[in-house]
Amino acid sequence: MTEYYLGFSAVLFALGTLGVIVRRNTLIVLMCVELMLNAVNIGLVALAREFQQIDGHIYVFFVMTVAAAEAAVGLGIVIGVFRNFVSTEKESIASLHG
Amino acid sequence: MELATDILIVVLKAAIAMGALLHIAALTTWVERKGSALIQDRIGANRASIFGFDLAGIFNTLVADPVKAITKEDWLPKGTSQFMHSLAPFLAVFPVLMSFAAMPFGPDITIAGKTISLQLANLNAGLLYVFAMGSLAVYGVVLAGWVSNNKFALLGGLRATAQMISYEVVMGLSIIGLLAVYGTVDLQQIVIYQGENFAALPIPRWGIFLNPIGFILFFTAMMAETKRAPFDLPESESELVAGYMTEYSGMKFLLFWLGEFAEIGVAAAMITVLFFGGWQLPWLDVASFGPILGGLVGAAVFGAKVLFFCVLQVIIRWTLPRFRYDQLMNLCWKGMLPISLVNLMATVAVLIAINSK
Amino acid sequence: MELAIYLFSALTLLSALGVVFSAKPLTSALYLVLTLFLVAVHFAMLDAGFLAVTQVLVYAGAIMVLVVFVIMLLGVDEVNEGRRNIPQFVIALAAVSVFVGIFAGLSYTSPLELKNVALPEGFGGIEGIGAKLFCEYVLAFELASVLLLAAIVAAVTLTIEAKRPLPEGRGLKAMHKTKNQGVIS
Repeated sequence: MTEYYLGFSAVLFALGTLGVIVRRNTLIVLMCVELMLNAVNIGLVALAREFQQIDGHIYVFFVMTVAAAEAAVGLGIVIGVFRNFVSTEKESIASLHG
Repeated sequence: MELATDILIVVLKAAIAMGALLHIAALTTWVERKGSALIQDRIGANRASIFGFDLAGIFNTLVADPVKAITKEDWLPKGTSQFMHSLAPFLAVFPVLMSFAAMPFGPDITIAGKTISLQLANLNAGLLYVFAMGSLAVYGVVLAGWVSNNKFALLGGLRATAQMISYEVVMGLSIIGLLAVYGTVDLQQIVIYQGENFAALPIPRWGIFLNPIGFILFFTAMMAETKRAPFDLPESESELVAGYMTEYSGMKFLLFWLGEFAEIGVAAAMITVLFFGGWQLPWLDVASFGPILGGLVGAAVFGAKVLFFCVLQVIIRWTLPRFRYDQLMNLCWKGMLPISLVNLMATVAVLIAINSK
Repeated sequence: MELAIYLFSALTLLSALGVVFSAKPLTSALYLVLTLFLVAVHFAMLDAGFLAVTQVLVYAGAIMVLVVFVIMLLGVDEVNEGRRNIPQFVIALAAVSVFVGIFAGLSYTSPLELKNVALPEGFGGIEGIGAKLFCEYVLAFELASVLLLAAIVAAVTLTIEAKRPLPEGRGLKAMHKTKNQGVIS
């Protein structure tokens, strides 16, 4: 069963990565990053149950904390960018381009 | 056979718990209408009657209002999808009903040799579960404000969201000191702890005696969380039409209403479990009444205490004037948050001092 | 029991597909809330009760509320993806499939002896996690709180607007002065 959960976690992580690469809206990219972090959390919990060490749960706790901090700062950046470019597409934020 | 009995017991407990919460919500609606009339020195609603009996307005509130709401036109504002418009009342009601699952009604009862715990879900982190469901209730409000395609509704929704997430912080912090005294987050264990008396005084170890400031903070934060007056700016009838519920009519509006009153019931249940002994009677041992009678007495005591706090919240609503929005936020972040932190430190300091003797 | 695991895994994958391929950000956010809730269900099935509740409380109840709040505040719930980039999509899909293949292959043919014994009493409960967190990992805990404080300061600094000075005078004359100042400051 742990193998199944690790594979499932890999599939969710892959979906999140696909979203980050393909989508152009910054907010959706942020949400796909959260999806990747949750996939990692599932893998950690499955392994914690397999080896019966509660340390896995503690790592998940810290991943959640870091994800919360990252989401807050990322959204602050999105708001700042929106104020200056009035757009949330990562293709249109191209002032430093070429 | 064993599995079938277990499933039947769970289904019965679920039916009783959800039924009790919905009945409490309905009764509180009636108490609100007639109680507000009493407080404001008027008669209130008394026109609907069956065979000449109008039962002090119960037929009006509990029969005529739902019939009216169900038969009204289901109206959709322009430019929104039916799915999102219906999703918002669902998200407002569903977490509130779910959070009642962790409340203990009474001591464990034994029927035919089988021990049944009078709690729908015996969770290890029961209190955290109730907070989690409370934090999910924000989605109904913010989605209702957005989907209404209406600036006033959106403003009401955003203000309500900011208010709810601010007061969630205070709600959590105000009882950590009390949880340090109880030593557990399991609601049934908290109620069992409140059964004995203090070591020095002959009064029961209720939460209100252990941490009175925490009670005041938690009660206030809970009333702000349920968007009840004096914190009812999101649905202020005199300022924002109906706030985030403006574009809702008929049964969807009644679902929002039901969610709000069910949340009053959940708030009252939380207060009795944490601060007023849950299903315990002050100097009696409820569990010693017998295997089945103990459970019934416990459930009756719990119901009476919950109803008392529902009526108290209704009275407070119709007595105090409303806060302005900046006063509300200042009160949370500059007033209640520091007080709750000081309360936490003081409680833990007293606990260390007592335990190190 | 296995049936429940497969059912919830299927639901989680479907709603993750909804997150990645939704047209509007708000629909994507709501699908993500559903995904987080289902991940909490997975945690509960893996005997991580405290983590399941914390997941709903922190992720679905706070972080996603913040995301939804920002979407509504900025009012950016529109669809403007423009021209699709099919080669980019195909290459990305191939790359992540290779990754999934390698990972799943490794986990299914792992040389470790995966045990399946019964769990100790109270595994995943709040007492065990609290004991470990505040005894062994207390330094990481304190650093995490400093990190959160830094995130708060950063978020406020990024989004705070300097107050515009109030115009002199009263009435229509003062209002006329501020009429053309615009929104973006």
